[in-house]
Amino acid sequence: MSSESDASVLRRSIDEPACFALLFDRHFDPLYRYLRRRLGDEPATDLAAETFLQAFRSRRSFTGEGSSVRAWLYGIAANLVRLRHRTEERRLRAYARAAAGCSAEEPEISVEDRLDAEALGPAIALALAGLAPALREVLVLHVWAELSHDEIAAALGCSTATVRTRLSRARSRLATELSQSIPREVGER
Amino acid sequence: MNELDDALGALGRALDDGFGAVAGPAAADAARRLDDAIRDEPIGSGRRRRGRRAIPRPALRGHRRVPGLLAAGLAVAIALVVLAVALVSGRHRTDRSGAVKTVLPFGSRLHPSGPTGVNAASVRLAAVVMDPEGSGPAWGLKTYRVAGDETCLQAGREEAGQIGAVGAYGSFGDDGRFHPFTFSDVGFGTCVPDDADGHAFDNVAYANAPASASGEPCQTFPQGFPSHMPARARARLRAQAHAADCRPRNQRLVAFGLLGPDATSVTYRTAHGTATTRPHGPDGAYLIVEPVDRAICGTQCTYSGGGSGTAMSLPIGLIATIAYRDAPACHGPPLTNDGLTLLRFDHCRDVDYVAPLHAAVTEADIASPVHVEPMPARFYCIHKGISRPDVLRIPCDGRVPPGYVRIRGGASQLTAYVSWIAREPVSNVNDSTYAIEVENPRRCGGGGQGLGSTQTLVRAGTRITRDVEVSRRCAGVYRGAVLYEPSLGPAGQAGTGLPEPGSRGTFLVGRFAIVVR
Repeated sequence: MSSESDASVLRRSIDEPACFALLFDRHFDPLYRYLRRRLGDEPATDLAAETFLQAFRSRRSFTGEGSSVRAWLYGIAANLVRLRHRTEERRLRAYARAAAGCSAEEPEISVEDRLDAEALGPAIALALAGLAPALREVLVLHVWAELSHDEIAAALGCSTATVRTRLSRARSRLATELSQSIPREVGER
Repeated sequence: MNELDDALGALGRALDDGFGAVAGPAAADAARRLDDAIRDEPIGSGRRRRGRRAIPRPALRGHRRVPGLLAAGLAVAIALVVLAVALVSGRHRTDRSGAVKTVLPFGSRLHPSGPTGVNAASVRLAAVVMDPEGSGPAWGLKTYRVAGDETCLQAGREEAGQIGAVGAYGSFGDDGRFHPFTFSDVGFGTCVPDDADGHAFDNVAYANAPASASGEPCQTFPQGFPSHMPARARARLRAQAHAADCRPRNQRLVAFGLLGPDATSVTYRTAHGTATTRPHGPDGAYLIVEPVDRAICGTQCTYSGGGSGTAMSLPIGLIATIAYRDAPACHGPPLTNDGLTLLRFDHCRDVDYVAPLHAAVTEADIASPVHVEPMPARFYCIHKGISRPDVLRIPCDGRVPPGYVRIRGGASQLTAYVSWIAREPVSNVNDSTYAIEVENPRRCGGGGQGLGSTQTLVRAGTRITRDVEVSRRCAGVYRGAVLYEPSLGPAGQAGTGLPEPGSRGTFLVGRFAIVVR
């Protein structure tokens, strides 16, 4: 794969549109995977394609100042996802129902065991579904898309401080939700 | 918060199920669309050069491009047939919307930490339209105010003034009965904060709503159940009585919203052209139900979502024009082959939206000493019946107090009580909050973490106490801060609109430190 930077490829694609294919090759899979996690197969297919279409059409507007092409692409995707947050919530809740169905008959589980990431699945899916879309956006961009605070800020067009605040608030709310749901399932006296 | 991130990561991997099997077709489809766009690029702006790599163009799967003339002929024929059927059967849309008061027997909780109480006097059956296929009860939109200055939109099938779902199309075991929603179930709807004048604004659209209006997630496992899902879970899901059959013919395009008191008409596209409906009630409620038709939603028929805030988000492709009494009409962009892909009508605004007034807050106004009381214990207990942020976990090394349960594995955490005086109120839990943040000791990797927020209504001048936990595994000084976040922006989707440019940020109430030895 070419070592040419994304920004350089993008700039070159203004005169040579076919160059944009290189950015597609570099970023489609992770972006699609990210969208698929959030929305499922079909919407992810559409949105990933649309993200690159919009990016291609607006490639002249990318300034490259203070943001990466990757962040720019995720920003476009975030805009597309924003109106589908109910789809995302339904998906998470359905996952939680399905996964909870698997463990409903499990015996009493300690908090340490519950903190095992797999075991937390249903609870955290529900908690994530209950988060405000703006908070969920930041959290999944950070954890699933592995964007840095600066990249998230660039993607969402807000300050890094805002990203930190929202990330903190999102984690806080998730932790609160989890702390309230888990103890009720452990031993009582 | 590493455990939390790990858990989120695991959740993401669980949601990835079968990624490898579908990435190829998705990429191929996207590549084809992008390749078309590149191909359509004007010559003068840099056409593809010889020798450059073209995006891989997959073979068309299962269908071939229909010649333009034939496609146009087919479209006209189909449109004529649909129109003829609609006219002959007399099922063409009849809007019998109107404000109808209904009796409200209770005020149920909408969600655990959210607003409670329905204002019975505010309940309106705001819009009713016939099902476009003439199947079953009409569709309705009900609006009602709830505590916390929010307005809820409840959409679904309508019968005798109630909104609900029908036992058909696979839902509710096809029992043929009407299943009314409670006020805690808004169906396809949502609840949004009112503006300063007590009006709510929102737009919601689903291109793939189950025709039963059951609201079940019919596209969650469109390709079948994930491979890792145990047989027991699959069987349970299959046995669910209200698993909607979501084949396209059993779906509807459902769009509704509140456009404000000044809106006078909504013109939208249909398979036969356009139709116009009149918004009703003080919030300008409208409801549109159409068959799922790619002529309307283009290639994006799985579109769903809602809008928010001051720049309206509308189902592009569906809405053509919104007319206002005293403001310029909002014209949607022309229908394109890209379908419902644009998100915001940047040139349209929620007419008459009045932003909630937030008194200018300064950090001097909000500052308060923050007190910290570490509560060292081997075990902590939490109330088993009340799950509210203001009901604190308590040390319980000895006997577990009545009504509490012991949290197992709490030994690795130190609980501390953090308290401060709230100088500013929280009058809407979706719109503002006091948050607690803590920075880990540098030797433990540093990094910040949120440790909770008020998530309750707060009266100005009251002392707030919340419990926070820090890890005992890493000794050092955990430096924290209490922050006041007045708003995430103007009224929006459940109060969660993204900050508008220039919106205020976070105000420091005070700092504190927790020492772990």
